[in-house]
Amino acid sequence: MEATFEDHCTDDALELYALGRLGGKHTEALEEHLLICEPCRERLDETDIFVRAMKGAAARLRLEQKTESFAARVARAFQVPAFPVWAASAACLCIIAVSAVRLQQPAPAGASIAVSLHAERGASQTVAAHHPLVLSLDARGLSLGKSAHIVLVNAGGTTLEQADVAPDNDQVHARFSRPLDPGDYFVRICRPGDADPLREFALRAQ
Amino acid sequence: MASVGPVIDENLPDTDARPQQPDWVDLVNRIQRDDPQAMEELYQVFTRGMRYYLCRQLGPQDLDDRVHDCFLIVAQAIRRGELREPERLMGFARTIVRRQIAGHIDSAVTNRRQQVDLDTSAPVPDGGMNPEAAAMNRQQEQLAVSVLKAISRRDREILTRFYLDEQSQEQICQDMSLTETQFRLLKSRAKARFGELGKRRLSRRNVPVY
Ligand SMILES: [Zn+2]
Repeated sequence: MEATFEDHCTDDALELYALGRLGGKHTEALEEHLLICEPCRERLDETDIFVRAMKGAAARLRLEQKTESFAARVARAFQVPAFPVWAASAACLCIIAVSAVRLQQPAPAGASIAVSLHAERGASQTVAAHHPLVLSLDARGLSLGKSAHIVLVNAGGTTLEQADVAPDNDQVHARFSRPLDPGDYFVRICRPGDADPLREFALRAQ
Repeated sequence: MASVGPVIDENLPDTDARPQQPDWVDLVNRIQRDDPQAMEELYQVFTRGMRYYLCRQLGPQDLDDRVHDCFLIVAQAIRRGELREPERLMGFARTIVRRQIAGHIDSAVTNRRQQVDLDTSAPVPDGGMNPEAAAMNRQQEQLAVSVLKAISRRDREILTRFYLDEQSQEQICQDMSLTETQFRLLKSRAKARFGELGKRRLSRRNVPVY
């Protein structure tokens, strides 16, 4: 492989270099290019930051997961329902409560709100503004496969949050941590890598 | 090791920002004729890159001296006619910098061994970062935690395998039934999200508080 002065390093190569996993011949070409290319040096700095942060974050989450599963084992040993069971029960209760009474009881500031969105033409769900959302989306009949891309957009169509999630039977669950200001929003179910929505739900925050 | 396809891509990142392409053969010839302008050009082309590379590998200590040493070695080798393929000047410069780094690391290891022989209680340099850099690292890691928590368990596993477990792209794609494109897309989305969160945090920090 030849490096020329007219070309720039690919993202993949910079990332593998930052991870210390780029092969010898590739490393040679990349380092020669870095010697004379300021934009690629800046991109490598950004890549270093991202890679370091992802490593640290992944290690931290794995540790948390291990700690949680250990806690669950301890809880089982003492016949006490572990946290995930309580969390699941609480989430179910929230979904039922929100579907039934909508906003009669405002949630505490900053707490997540569970919202169930159904595929009914013209229906708009109202949620409390300024809270993160845990959404359960009706995905019946969409044949999504292993993954769905969920996008939250504002009334102007600007993407506010998005996540790739694994469908759960006929439902898709997504957590959007960004608290919504009052206004109209849309939640879209798309196929990964495809911007065209398969289904869209209207959401009003107030 | 993962196969990476082309390492260099002519479409990235901004065609206007492409580095200048000196005529290496001409530059080498002029240096050999003692053209001071050519020496200046050589200095301009290489020293920033050398500085970056040396700093990345060895840190900021004695950086000016190290850059100066590398530059002198390259310049003297050219003058003495030791550079057999002038069109490979960039590769030669890289080799010199790498040698300097390897030499420094060797001597640092030897020094440390000798110190330990003389006095086993001598503190070993911890190479630790300053508190500001450590705080910045923690913030960036927290952003990455947000990115990982916002994606599905499966996607998180894919990224964890790649960044933490150092599994290759091929292995992950095979184990998780992913196409190369899906894998790339997942990584680039995570990176974009990380960048967005970082910018948002930065912009929040810039909002004046009354
Ligand atoms: Zn470049």
